[in-house]
Order: sequence, then structure tokens, then C-alpha cells
Amino acid sequence: MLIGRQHSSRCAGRLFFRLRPAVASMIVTCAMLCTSPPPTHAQVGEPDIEYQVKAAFLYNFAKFVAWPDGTFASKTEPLALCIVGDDPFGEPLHAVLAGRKAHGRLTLLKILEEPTNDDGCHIAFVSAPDGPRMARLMQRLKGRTVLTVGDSEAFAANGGMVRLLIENKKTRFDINTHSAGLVGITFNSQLLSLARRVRE
Amino acid sequence: MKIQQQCFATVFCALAFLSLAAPGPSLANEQAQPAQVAAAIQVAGARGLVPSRYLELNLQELMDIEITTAAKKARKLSDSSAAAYVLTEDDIRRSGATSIMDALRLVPGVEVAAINRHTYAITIRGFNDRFANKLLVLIDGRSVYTPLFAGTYWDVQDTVLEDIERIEVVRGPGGTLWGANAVNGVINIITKRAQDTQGTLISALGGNEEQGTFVVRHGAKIGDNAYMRVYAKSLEREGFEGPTVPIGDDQWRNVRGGGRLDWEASETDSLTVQGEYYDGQSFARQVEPTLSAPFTTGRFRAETDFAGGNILGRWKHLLGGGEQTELQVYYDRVDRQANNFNQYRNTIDIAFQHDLPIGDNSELIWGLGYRYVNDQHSNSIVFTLTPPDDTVNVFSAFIQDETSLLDDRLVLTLGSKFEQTDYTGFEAQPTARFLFKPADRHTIWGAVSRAVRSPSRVENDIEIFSRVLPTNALAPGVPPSPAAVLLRGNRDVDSEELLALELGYRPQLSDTVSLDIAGFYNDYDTLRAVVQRSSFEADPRLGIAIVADATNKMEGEGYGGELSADWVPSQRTQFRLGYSFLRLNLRLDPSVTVASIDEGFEDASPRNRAFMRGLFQLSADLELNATLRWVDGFSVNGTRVASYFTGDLRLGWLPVDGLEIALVGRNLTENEHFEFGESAFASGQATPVERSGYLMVTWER
Repeated sequence: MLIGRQHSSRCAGRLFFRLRPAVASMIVTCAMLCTSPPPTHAQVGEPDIEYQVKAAFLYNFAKFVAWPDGTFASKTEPLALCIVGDDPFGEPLHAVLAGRKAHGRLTLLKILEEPTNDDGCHIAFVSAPDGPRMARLMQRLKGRTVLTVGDSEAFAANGGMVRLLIENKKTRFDINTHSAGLVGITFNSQLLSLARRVRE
Repeated sequence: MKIQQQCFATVFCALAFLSLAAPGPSLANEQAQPAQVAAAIQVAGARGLVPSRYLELNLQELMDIEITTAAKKARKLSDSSAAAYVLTEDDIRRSGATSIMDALRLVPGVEVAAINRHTYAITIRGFNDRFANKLLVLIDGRSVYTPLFAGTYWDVQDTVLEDIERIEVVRGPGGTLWGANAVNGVINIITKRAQDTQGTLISALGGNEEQGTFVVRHGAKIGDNAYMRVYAKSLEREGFEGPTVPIGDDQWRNVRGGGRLDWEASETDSLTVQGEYYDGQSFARQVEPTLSAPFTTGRFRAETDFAGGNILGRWKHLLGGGEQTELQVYYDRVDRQANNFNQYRNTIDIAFQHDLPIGDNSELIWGLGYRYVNDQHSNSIVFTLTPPDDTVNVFSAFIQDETSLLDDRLVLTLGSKFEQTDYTGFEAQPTARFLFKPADRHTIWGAVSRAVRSPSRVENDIEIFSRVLPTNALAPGVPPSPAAVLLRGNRDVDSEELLALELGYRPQLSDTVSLDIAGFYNDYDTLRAVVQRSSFEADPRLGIAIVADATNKMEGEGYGGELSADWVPSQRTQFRLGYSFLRLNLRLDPSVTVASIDEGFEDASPRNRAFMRGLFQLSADLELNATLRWVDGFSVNGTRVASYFTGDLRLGWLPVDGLEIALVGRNLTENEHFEFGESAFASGQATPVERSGYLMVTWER
């Protein structure tokens, strides 16, 4: 028991009635105005922790996936990470993902509203509202040696390869090795063992 | 006892004032951080060598990071061609709301008014009443409006608030997908999946009005991809006591328990089974006619005992390529005994839905539904239903197509719901909507929709003995005798119809400021009006009866708009603003020469309402929420409800992981104010809302 029922009731009651309306009004108004921070434009756009973590997952996937021979023209060809459709990451995270090393290759970031056959993507994070648009984006990526990553049910339903999801406040992922296998993309066994579920 | 009182008061005051004093230096330090981040990113863009704390982590470590709900994503409605708003889990927790009803106060355009401690009048875009009947409320896909009066018994709509994932509110007709009664809006309460409520949660809450709310919830993994949770909750609110209403008598008690199971049976199949049982009591001062001299209408303490339960199963099957099917079945039982008027209702509802992508740019959703409602009533002196027992079958179907054009800058939605009921026959509720994005960050949408509200059991079958008029109240020429005033339903009552035009604009003004503006024009036809007959009728009890019949002899227009604005200057500080304006013009058919109480709805909603919310993360473990609300004056059944301005404060402290202590003050600016009046249809005596406070402790691990 936190506080005795009778006690809490009377105690709080008396307290609140003692606060004069004007004083109470001031408290509320002051709480809103006094705590408002000085607006500095530098605070703008601090990314969600969710997408900071998802960006880190995206980068990690790049390290645990193998593309079929011939996908890269040379040993130094950059690895192209593409954000396809809507962009839930935002600019601050673009800078974080670009210019890193994976498989000895430099990562390159592309933001695409629509994928095209010559966009050069190796990994595509696909984000769109559930509906025809998601279906179309996935259709355009179908049959290409592109690792598709997403975080919606609709993404998985459309044959997405790696789906990120939040379960009990923690990030988990499902892998569809069937979809990936069709285009010759394979996953490191460590990655597979960490997946919540692997669809074969 | 005195020491304890002082102690509580001191702690409260100290916390309240510390919270105001604290932000100065400590916040200034923390706010410097984003500036550094922003600067660093620019360097990153140039050189690509930035350390990011998450990027350096391995997968295992990443999987251990706790993700707090991203309000932004949950709130992402820029792609909806309707006036929609989402209240997130975080919004609800930080508001200090202790009931679903109180949480709804934070949704722009939702009119929430407490009639007393447990009885609320809630509506969207007008016609507010205890028996407000143009709003559909769903909890996890289960309709909770009662076919008795086509409204919602709010005193039994509750759950563990911590388990609510979000509350979606659609203002305007939602009839195409949701069916009859979604005339002016839909409130959709969605609880979390069992996999998102793992572990144990215990919470206790008590204050001067809230006499104790206790929650225990436990979630566990019970198999491969199968999770469950069970919960129990009890609440008690003290009745009103004060000079304004000498005898309040509006106590409320409620106990409930339930559970949910979520099983991802295979890659393509997921199954949800959930159920709940509740039991409680509420009290209110009700009116009842006296059949002996002096033939007036007395008031007495009426006890309402309610109990009920439901069980729901949902099976979702993915067919690939974006195609999916969903089958949902539920059974709901309501048992409510009030003032000798007892009702028992069994509902069985089956719904099937199929989502089918067509080509590259189009998606078709269609569905079929069947609802069986069987009720039994025992009549009282005030309420008589004829027949007392009845069964209703409702068959429904809907189809909707959504097509994207011009590289998704234009989305067209066309659809209709079709319903066949025993009472009113066949009804179609079509809608046509568009969504247009002329530029990045700008969305315009519009809709034309037809919606209907089918008559309720009351409008068809009831006789309400609403009061007794003593002899001297009768017209001259009539033999002196006391008279009964009877409100009577009949089976000729037809559906109410609405043709709604809506237009909305959602600009993202900057990275931190977004606006959502919606306007509507509602054209109502065949609205219900209870109209008094010109002649008297013989009454076995009193000799004479004045009868008023339910008719459809009213029409009218409603217009108005809602504005909501979000300003998120940083992750630590958020401001929300909501404003709504509403006008209703109602007209009785020219053939009607007497007044009707239904005309009163014209004034039963405030014209202007506004709220402002500030959410502040004062430090890593201290958060503050302040809300200011202003509601314009209006009239209920001839009684004026004065305009009021009030505010709530919540201070939350998270001293260690999993523990939260919150101190909440509500309606702080005034000792008390009325939010609604006693409605013409037996709502019970209205009591004011008082200044109140409570302390809440939540422990979760």
C-alpha cells in the first residue's frame, strides 16, 4: 500500500483546496512557459533512437551478407546503400551511413523515391505505407541482386528479405532466405542464428 | 495522521516547485549536446569518419538497446485522406489520464465532458449527450457501442492503460470501412501485442478523487513465437461532495481481468485470442416520477450494477505479394442492471477481410460481416421496452479501392459499405476521397461521403415515463388530473442520414513544426426528433398522458474545423496545440408546431475548444507534462454550462530502470466546474469536476 486511502484522500484534498485558483493557474502557465527552452536551431532534427539503431542494423547487415560473384565490377567498387520510398532516417543519419567500410568497400548512400534497374543499389531499405505503393516498390526490386531491408509487415508480405521489428521495446529481425536465395544472396550463419525467425 | 498529511503536502509542493526551478542550468547543459551532434554530422558528410555510438556496436548489443516508441512514426498520418489523429502510448502515459475518456481530451476535435464521475458525454463534431449516438468506438476491433441507444456506456470501457499501444481517432464519417454509426467519427483503441508486454507490471494510484487503482499484468513467452499476458485491474472513484451539489452520490467501482495470446503460427499465419471479464457498480442521483400526491418527479440514489465479458479471435493470413486475409470472430456479453431496468445482451460478430493488390498502383480491400444481437430486458417504471426480448441480424459487405497516380502524388480512394438490417433494410454508405501532394511536405485531401445511423432499440421500442406533471401544469379545458409525460419509440423510425464534405491540409512547415487543418460541412437529413402529440392519451396510472413520439422530422447542417499543431523544438521538448470550431443548425419539419428536445443539440456543444500541451524532459529521469484546456460555454437541455479554463500538471520521476513515480494535479485552476448538464434522457444528476491530485507508482520488469 502506497499511502493510506483515507489519508491520501484528505491530505491531497486539503492541499488542493488550499491552493488558490490564481496560484494554481500560475503554476500551470508557468510550467508551460518557464520550461520552454530557448529555441536554438541546432537542436533541430535529432534522429529518433529507433532509426539510429535501425541505421546501425542496416550497416551491420552489409557486413554479414554475401552477394553472388560478379555483383561488384571491381574490388573497390563502393557498396551502395539505398533508402527507397519514404525516408524515415533523415539527413543526420545519412551522413552516418555514408563513407564507412564494409567488406573492404566504402559505403555509398542513395536516397531514391523509386528504384530503377540502373540505380546500382546493393542494399535497399524500403519504406512506404502499406498499400499499392509498397507492392510496387518491391515489384521493381524483384529479381535484382539487391538485399531488401524493411520494417513493416507489408514489406515482409511482399517478399522482403530482412524485416526489422520492435518486440517488447527491443529490435529483432526476420530473414527470408527464400527470397534472397532466388537472387543468390546468402547470409552469414551468425546473422541467421540471431534472427527471430528464418523463412526458408 | 496529521504528520502524514503535512508530509504529502510538502513533497508535492517541493516537487512542483523544484520542477519549475530545475530546468535552468541543467537543461542548458544538455541542450548543448544536439548542437555538437549537428556540427559533427557536417564533418561526417565531408569526411565520412564519424563515430556513431550505435554503429560501433555489434548485432547482439544492438538487439539489447531499448527502443522507446517513436511517436513520429506512430503518428504518421500524412498519407491518410481523412481527419485522423493518433494518441500514442507515450501521450497517454504523460498526460496523467486515468481513464480512456480522460485520454481522449487530448485529441483535437473530440468533445469529452464528464457528466459525473463515471458517466461521460463524448462525441465528435456535435450532438453531444450521455447517449451520443453518432460515434463508433472500437476496442481491438470489437464494437463497444450499445445497440440499445446506439451510443457507448463509457463506465465499462476500460483496460490497463499501459497496455494501450495507440488510440486512433478519425473525425468525420468512417462508415465505408466501419459501418453504421460511424457517422461523425470513429475511435479505435488498439492494445499492444502480447510480445510487447512481456514481464511484470504492477501499478498503484491514489489521490483525493481517485480512491485507488491497482494493476497487475504479467506477460510470458509460452512457446515458439507464442506470447501471452494476463492482467487484473481495479479502480474506485469517490463520489462528489460539495456545496454545489449537496448529494453527489456518484461513486464508481470497477474490477476487470483478462488476457491475450499472440501466436505467429507460421511465416504467413498469425493468431490472436483475447478476452476479458469485468464487474462493477456506479451510482447516480436519478429522477423517477411519483405516482401519488403531490405528483412530482423525485430524485433518488440509483445503483447500476454492470458485468460483462468478451472473447475475440483473429486470424491473419499472408498470401504473398501484399495479399492478405483476416478473419475475426468475437462474442460479447453485457449485463447491466440499473434502477430496476435490467438488460442482458449477447453479441456474436464475424468479419472477414481480404486485401488484394491489383497491378502496380492499386489495392482492393473487400470484406463481409455478420452480427447477431440477442437482448433481454426487464422493464421498470421509467423504461418499458416492447418487446422486452429481441434478436437482430445485421449483414454487411464493403469494398474499397485505393489507386496511386502521378508517382504517388495523387491517391484516389473509392468505396462503399452495404448493410442489411432487420430494422431499416438495405443501406449503402459510399465515399470518394483524394490525397494530393503538390510538393514535398504538403498534403491536401478531400472527401465526399454518405453515412447513416440506424435507429437504436430505444428509438424503435421504448416508452420512457420521463416525469409527472401536476394538475396545474395542464392546458385549460382539460379535466384536472396529473399527467404522465411519455417518450415513445416506434418501428417507423428510419435511419439518420449524413452527406459530408471534408477538406484538409497538412503542411510540414519546418523540421520541427507541423500543422493539420481540417474543415467539414455536414448535411444531415431525417434526424431523430422526439415530437409531442397535440392530443392527450388516457393513462392507466394517472388518467392522462402527454405523449411524444420518435420521428425523423429534423434536418440540419453542421460545419466547422479542427486545427492541430505540433512543435518539437528538440527531443526533450514538445508542444501540441489543438483547436476546434463547430456550428450546428437544426430545423424541425414545418409540420411540427411544438418544440422538440432534440433541437437542443444545436447548443449542446461548445463552439470553440482549445488545448495546449507541453511535454518536457527536464533531465534524464524527470519529465513534466502541462496541459491547458479552454472550453466555450454551451447549453444542455436548457441548462447553461459555463465556459471553463483549466490545467493539468504531471511530474514523472524514473529513479531507477523500471520504476516510475508520478505526481499529478488535475483541473488545477479552479475548485470545480461543470463539464456537462443533465441530459433530457435520464443521464442522472450532473456533478462538477473538482481540482484533484494523485500519486502513482508503476513498477515494470
